Amino acid sequence: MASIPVPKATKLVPRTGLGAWIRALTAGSTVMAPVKDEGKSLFRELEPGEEDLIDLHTVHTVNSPKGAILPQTEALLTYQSTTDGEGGKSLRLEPTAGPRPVILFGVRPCDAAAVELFNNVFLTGDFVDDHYKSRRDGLTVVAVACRQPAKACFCTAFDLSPGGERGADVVLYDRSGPGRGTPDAGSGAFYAVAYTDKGEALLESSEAAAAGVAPVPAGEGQDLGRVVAAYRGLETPLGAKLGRVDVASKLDNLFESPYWEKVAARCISCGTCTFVCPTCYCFGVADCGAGGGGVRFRYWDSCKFPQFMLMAAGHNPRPAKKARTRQRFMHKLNYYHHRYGEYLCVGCGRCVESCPVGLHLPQVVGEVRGLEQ
Amino acid sequence: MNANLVGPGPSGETPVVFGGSAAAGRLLVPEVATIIDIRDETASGDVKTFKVRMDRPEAEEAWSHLPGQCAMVSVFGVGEAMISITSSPTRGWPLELSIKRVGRVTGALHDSQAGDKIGLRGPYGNRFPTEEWKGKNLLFVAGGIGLAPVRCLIDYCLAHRDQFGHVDIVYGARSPGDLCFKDCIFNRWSRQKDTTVSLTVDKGDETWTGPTALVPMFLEELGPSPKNAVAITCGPPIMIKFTLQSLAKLGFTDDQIVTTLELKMQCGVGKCGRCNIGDKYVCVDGPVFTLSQIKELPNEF
Repeated sequence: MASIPVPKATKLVPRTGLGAWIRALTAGSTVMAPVKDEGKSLFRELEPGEEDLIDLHTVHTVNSPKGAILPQTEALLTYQSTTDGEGGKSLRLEPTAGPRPVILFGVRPCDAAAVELFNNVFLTGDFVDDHYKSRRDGLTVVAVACRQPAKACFCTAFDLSPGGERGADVVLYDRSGPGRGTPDAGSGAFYAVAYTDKGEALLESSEAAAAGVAPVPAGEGQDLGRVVAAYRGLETPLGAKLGRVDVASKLDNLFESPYWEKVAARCISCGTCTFVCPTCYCFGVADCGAGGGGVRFRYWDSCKFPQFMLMAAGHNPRPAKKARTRQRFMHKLNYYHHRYGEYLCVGCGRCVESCPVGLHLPQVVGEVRGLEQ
Repeated sequence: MNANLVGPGPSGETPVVFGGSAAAGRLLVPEVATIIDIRDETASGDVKTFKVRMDRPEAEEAWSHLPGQCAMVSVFGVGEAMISITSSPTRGWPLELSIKRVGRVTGALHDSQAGDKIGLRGPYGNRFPTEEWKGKNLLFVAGGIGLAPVRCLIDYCLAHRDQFGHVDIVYGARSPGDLCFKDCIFNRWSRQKDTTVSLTVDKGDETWTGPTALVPMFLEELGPSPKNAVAITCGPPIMIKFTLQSLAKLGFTDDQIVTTLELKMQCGVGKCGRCNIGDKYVCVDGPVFTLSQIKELPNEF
């Protein structure tokens, strides 16, 4: 287990004060939160007056919150070409304006950790992706610890936990501790623990105080410690079965394994796994416009699609489904691990819940362990 | 707290905020550039060389590339493609890009005229390790448009002629009309000190009295010595495949063979997750690899 950072601030947030606090937050930032929408829990921008729709009970929103830092489509620049009377050409490129700060409210610890995995890609190496950086710099993450992890959860297989703080500025821990059932909306409270300066500022603001965010009562410090530790020590159902994921070096020798043929036979190349995944970041770039002006944007792409690597002259290095299926699992479990020293998965379980043919990462990890080298 | 977001990467290198697009200050936003000249390289017109200049003098000044590196070229409204830089840095601006018409972006470039505006960003990728070649004989083996990135390197090496031993250039194309850079291969290069240019075509015509042989066979006939030599090869996949076999027959080891790869790219800076072979990205870890490095990678390109 990674060491636990010392909290910068701890507060008590009464459940009845949540709405007012979130309303206060919306004043200066865009707030994105899990919202019950036609029966589904979706991560989306909160409209004014929607505070009561926030769903802190459903463990998995259908989509992950990754759109806050890598929108599904993101304008990079606008272009305008003109020709003057003498036929002289000119081209004007305008980078898109900086985004509004975003507060991700009610993110699960797995999704918060996923943001950090994006940082490895977009902020390190010889090139810093400044479109990403401006979104990341403006991002504040308020996570909520999981009282009862879902059946498909396996964050613990990656040394994360239902009470973990990685990637979060503040974590909210329901004061009643982990457990079954839904706490009564009209009672109870959260311990709010800030792990960063940004989180501390959020909890210490006058708006927070006005909404009822209060100091933890004297003498309750031990309870807080106990509750936080209980969340951190919580096991996940699938994580318990899977154990710690340990296949990176084994996969070094399995690129040519016939196993990938077997896995690919089940895949229908729909790309659902890549779209719901909080750690899949591969993108494409395209132009949209006519008459000399338009916008260049990037968009979520998927390695599961045959066109992903298709080159202009017709060559495709991954023409078969076997190669594309292998790419996604190798990227998450081997290539990324080689590059950044950790796995590109946080065990959220969305692929387990969403794949129409039941082909998902924990299953592949289990099967890879059983393969002959 | 944001300081930790741009801290050293896991491999310990300090990230650098890219300053190539200084006006925009944005990684994926190109500089505006102008096509100032377009020249047909082949009889059929399927390969053209574009001379381009950046519109902002400061951007030209900030630009510095080395042989092997590439540029992302934009035709707005159509898209962007990674193109190898054909002109040696020793020749300064304008930059030359030799491009075969294969798809949408290259097609739009071929349909453009001098004076048209494009986008340019880079340079990207690693480079040929010329400092490791000091005192060595250089053997260049190229086929068709594969001479484009190698031309940059040959001019660079010839500009630093005293640092290298004998220079052998072996070049072939499908037909005499498909030979690119005619001024270089027929005039400029062969006049250099201790430099030979050997040309072949797959199929000759009435204008051709030279050898007709596929590049790998032609190379074996020429029989260059691997002693104290480096072989640099670039061309279509099928040519590369057999050229590598011929070089092995001639006694070249995997460490003595250098090539440059290409894959589909969208960002060119190691972010979009597109051009990987195993854990290497061709855009930032390549495009230049030795054969021994390539043999370490999964066979998927």
